[in-house]
Amino acid sequence: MQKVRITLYGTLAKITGEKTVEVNGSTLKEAISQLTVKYGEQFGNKIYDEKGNLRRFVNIYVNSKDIRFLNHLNTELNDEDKVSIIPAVGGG
Amino acid sequence: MSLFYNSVMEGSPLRENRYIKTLKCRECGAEFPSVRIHACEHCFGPLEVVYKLDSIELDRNSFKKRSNTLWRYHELLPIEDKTRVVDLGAGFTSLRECKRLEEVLGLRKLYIKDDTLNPTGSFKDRPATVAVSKALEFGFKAVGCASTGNLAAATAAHAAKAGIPCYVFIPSNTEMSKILQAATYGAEIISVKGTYDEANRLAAQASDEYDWALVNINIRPYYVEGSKTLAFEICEQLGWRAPDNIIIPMGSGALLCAAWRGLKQFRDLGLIEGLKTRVIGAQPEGCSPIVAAFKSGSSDVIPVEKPETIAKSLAIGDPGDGIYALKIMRESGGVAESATDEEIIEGIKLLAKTEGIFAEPAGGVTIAILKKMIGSGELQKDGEVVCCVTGSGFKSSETILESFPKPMEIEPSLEELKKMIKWGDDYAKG
Repeated sequence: MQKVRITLYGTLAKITGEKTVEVNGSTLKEAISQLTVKYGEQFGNKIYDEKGNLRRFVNIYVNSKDIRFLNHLNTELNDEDKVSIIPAVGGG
Repeated sequence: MSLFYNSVMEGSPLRENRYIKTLKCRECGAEFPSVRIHACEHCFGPLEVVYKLDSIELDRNSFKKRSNTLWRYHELLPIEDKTRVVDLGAGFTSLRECKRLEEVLGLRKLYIKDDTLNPTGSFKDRPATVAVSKALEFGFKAVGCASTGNLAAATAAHAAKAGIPCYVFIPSNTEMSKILQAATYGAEIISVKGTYDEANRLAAQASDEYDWALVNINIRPYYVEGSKTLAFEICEQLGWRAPDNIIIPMGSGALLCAAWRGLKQFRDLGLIEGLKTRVIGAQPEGCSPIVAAFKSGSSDVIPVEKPETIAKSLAIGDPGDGIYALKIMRESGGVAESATDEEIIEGIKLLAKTEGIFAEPAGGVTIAILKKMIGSGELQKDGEVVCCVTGSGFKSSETILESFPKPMEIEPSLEELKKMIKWGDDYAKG
């Protein structure tokens, strides 16, 4: 299991009460599931929709790279990777 | 009151706007009071301002004695404190009849909505004047934005007028004229090594750290309202009717969505009768995720990681309003189309040479697509088109310059001049 650091932004950080959390996980999905266990349904419902899909406006970056250009939730994680979860990034 | 409101409402007293009904999530439909929030509490979807249209008493005569700026439509803008409005004179730009370009293209009726005439040279003055005013109303002491350049200049100029600091996040390959413009207005330039989307992401992270009103991020529901005035003006300038076709450049797709919202509001208020406008979205081929989704029949927009286009103001790989722009184009019977860099340059030159309008590449995109669609028959030659030219060529001179040969230099003598003119005449005759 890799140890990664997840930084949460906006409302997500308000729910957890912590901006940065260290978790273990070999994929992004595993790392996030640790967060949903730790912070409960209220947190999980913010990340996933009713069908269990990642919400459209939840943006996740591994080492600053958008996971849509990696392997989405199946992106593999390495030790010391930095994950950012940022809701509602609408630009332009 | 939820945790969310407790956190976002610090320092922002709940105010009642006479005409604002609510903020509504464009994704799940949840409604919120008009406060300092920018995303849905439930799904993080974008919020839009809903007005009490029934309470707004406006008719065509209401506008006769009003100022020639977009603030003539103040009832339909999300500002309640008029004393805080930061106005550099944005809006009410010319709607130009284009007889020479009509002839060249064989089109019955063409108008250019010339937003190069805005105070900082682009349509972005529209959202900037509204957003900076709203930021002051909310009590922010600094503003900023993520930008491909035009919004940077517009926000910086309005911040200068308001006398507050401005922080602009731009990709490091932004055109020098746009950087210079924003810097001269006094903005702090944060040049990010990466794409626009990376600069935008950093700005979103910064909005968590600093108490800045980043106009297209945490003021976004109000910011986008400014852009719809472009559609209001077109209707008014056409004699209180909507155009048959409108071509709008798309970066994020926000302008297209705002223009459509504007047309619908004018229809709902009875200021125009009916609405049959075909909305056509234009993107450069090197960054055309919305066009790709439209053509593939998808309702989802797959982002472009590394945009490659001379139309840098449209180089947004992950368009925030893309999915909504798609819906509007489909609902209105419009289309989405793209143009290559070569076609864009040709579009800029064609517009400049026939109508005397100097556009940045985003304007060249709309002209290129106009030409292409007339050629393919997607636009009827006997139809009417309004083409939106959203930024001045002076802002992209380095890009446009590359497509021109260096001017011939001569000695200050008549003989040399005559040789040059003869050469020019021969050249013109082919």
